[in-house]
Amino acid sequence: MSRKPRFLRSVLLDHLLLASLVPLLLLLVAVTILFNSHIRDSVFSENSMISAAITREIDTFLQHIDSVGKWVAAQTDITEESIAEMQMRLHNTVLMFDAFESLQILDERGVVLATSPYNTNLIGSNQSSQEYFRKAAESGEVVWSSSFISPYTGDPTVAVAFPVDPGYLVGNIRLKRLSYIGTQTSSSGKIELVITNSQGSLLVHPDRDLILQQENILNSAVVRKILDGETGTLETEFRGRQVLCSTSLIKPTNWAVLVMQGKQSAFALLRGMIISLVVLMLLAGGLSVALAYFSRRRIVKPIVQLMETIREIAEGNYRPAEPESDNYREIQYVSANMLHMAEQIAERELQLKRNLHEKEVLVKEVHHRVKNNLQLVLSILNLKYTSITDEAVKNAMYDNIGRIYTISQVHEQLYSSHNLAEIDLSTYLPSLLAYLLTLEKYVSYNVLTDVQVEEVLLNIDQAIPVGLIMFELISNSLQHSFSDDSTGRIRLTCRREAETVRIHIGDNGNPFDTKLFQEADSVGFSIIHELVRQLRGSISYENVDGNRFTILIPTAGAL
Amino acid sequence: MKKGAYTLIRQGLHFFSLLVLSVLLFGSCSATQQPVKVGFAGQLSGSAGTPSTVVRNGVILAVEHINANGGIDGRSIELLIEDDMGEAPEARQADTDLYNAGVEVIVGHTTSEMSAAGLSFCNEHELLLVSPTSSAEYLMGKDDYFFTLYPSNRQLAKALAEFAYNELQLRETAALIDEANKLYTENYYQEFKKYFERLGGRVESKYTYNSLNSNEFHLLTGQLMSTDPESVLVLAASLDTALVAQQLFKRGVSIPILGCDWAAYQELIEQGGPYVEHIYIPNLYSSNRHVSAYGELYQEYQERFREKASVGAAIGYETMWLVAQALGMQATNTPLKQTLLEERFEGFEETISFNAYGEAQRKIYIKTIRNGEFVNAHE
Repeated sequence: MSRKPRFLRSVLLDHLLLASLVPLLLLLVAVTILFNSHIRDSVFSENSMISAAITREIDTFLQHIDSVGKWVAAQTDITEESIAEMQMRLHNTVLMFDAFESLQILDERGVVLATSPYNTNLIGSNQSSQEYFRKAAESGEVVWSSSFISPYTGDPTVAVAFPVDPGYLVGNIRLKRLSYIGTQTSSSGKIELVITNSQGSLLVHPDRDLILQQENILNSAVVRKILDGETGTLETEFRGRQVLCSTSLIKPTNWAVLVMQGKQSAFALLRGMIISLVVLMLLAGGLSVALAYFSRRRIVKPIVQLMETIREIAEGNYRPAEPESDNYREIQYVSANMLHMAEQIAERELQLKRNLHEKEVLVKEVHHRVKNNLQLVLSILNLKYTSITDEAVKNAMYDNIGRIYTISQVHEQLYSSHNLAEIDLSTYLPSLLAYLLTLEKYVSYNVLTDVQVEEVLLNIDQAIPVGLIMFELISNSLQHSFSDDSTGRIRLTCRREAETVRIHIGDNGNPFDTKLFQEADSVGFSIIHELVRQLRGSISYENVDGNRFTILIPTAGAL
Repeated sequence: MKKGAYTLIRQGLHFFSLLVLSVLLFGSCSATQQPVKVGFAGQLSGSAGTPSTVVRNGVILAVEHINANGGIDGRSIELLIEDDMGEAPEARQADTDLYNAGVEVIVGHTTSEMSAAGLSFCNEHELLLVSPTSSAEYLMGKDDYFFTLYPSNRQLAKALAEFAYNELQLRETAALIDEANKLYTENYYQEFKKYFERLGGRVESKYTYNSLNSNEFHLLTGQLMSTDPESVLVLAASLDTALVAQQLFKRGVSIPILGCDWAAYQELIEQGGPYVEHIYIPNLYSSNRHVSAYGELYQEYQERFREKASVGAAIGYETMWLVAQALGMQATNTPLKQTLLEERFEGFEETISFNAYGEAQRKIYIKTIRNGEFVNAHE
């Protein structure tokens, strides 16, 4: 199946749009990728720097405690100093460094020798089951415990044990400093700081209640990774939120630090830029579409005008207005040649019309002459007819005169009409019937006619036999069905049916002898049958309220 | 290796998953499964908050396991946690908040005082309060909306009294009671005294203090030892019990300490050091982690929270698992309370059922501490 051709203007518009929008789209993609990469790197870098700064601050805080603790431990001599001296040193240290919630000196068995603030419940108690004591005893180094909620303050606390020969200095460190860092970090509302201890319990979180309730978030994959040593900056899911997260691990406490930013907030600038870009590109795209429409109109206009000129020529106007073809040489060339071709066609058509007219005149003249000749024959026969006395000869003569008249009427119609090739039965058949009824022989008959003949065009080869058949059948009706004192009715109908012309001719007179019709014993029926055969048609007879003949003629040649 | 009940619980979870899958395949596939809301209420913050956080962690672990295995009939559990801060108004508020949030049941509270505080609200609104650890007699013997998986004080005190009298051959003791959780400790004391004296023993003296105030345990232990008892009954939380043990040692006293389950947490071992190794506490579970489901939980808990599991974590897990079983068994239009009363549930080491008053019938083991770990005193 062949594809329906498209309009040039539609194809042109497609190409113009393609040529303008595709580069715009490619540009949009390229710029978006570039921006995305650059801004993402920048956001990642910023987040990572904040994380590094926080990690440094926490490290500094822990190192400060480490330094103070080691200094106090170096000053302490359990074997030489009195309990009061140790108590005083601890007291001064707690006063000077508010990070220490309390300080204790333990002997090598874990028994508390001195505490600050002074706590009678602790003095003399054994702390050897504490995690930090066991680890410090094993390693001989500074040991940081897991964080815990202080039973005395209810706040997150961590214990650190410094070896003192022979014993340990143990400090309980308030983690308020971490809360301060968390508050500072979260003050902008964009960055969120979360710190967990080595077990995944919260030490810093925007919701302080969760810290006090020791909420454990070790089920978070990112926290587990940090505690397993995998750190960095990544996009991840954290407690049901999509975040940009820089992670680090604080040594020696094994705290997981998460500096987080909601992805919505972190990439707000990128999103804004991409939206702006898309809007700009849409505007540019809209402009491109408008320009494409305008350009298409401009390009196609001369072609449309040329099409209009061609249409006019096709419709017969060989002198159309000259199209505006100044814009394009190609169109100018086609236009000029088209007009030239139109002029040539006009000239040839004029010549053809002249030739045709001459031919028509000639044909009309032929028909006129044939008709005149036949009229001459008729006049001679009429003169002869009046001198014949034998009724049989006279009747035969009469019939032949009628037949010649029938033929001459065909030629008369041809030359007197515009159509030299065809006879219109709607004119021809009624005039033939009227002629027969005016003949001297039948003029006294009281015959009514009922004529219904549609416009059916037949060529001369068909019209003459049809006319002769009609003549024979009407003559038969007048001669055999009616008498001169009776009143009769002749009905004539003719219509075209698909591939056939159907003619009915009938009367309400005496019925025919069917044998006469079927066996064509009379001259009239013999002629009828021969003419029907010549037309490749058929004729039938039926006797219903009189006589009725039906002639069917194939329309080959009928229009 | 013996196949523990913990494995059975896991298999049960798998069975539930298959059941859920079948329902999804042959039932209403298009229905969106809303989560089952379950509340937890306990004292999570403050100086006495640590034991309850351990229970909460056990509950969280159970919820994670249940959800990972397909939830309850395909519905995941959404756990809503409230902190009652160990104060009655906050406990009532916590229960109110959970009720308003649409929970079907509350796992909690973790102390008898707080359970009592929240119970009137729960009874009024027909909201089940299934406590992992409340055991005061005040809460028992009532047809209400309180259920507990913990043995009653009467059962615990009776077991401790019998052990002290029969196994330790003790005939005298002096009692120290923290009135911060008076509903529990006073009741525990009265029940112990009743059974101990019924057996022929005698409580020579009783001293009280309030842990919410500043306390001098060297003075308290001085009073306690004034009658030179052959044992002491300390009804206090783990830290205070540890401090009492430390002070007794400082006084050169080495006598058995009879403790209560309120003290049975890791904190007792850490703060008490070697001086709590002669303490005796009635509690749940056989403690043999190598043969019991509790042992399997011990590993899972350590992996999840990177700290040692304790009885608190186990009872939290077991309570949540039991509640989930009940929610799964609950027939349409049947109240959860009726399901809990009628059905039997798989626990770590035993099948658990409730009497008509919602009290679980449990085995009680006397625990002591050896080498820094809770063990069965009979081992």
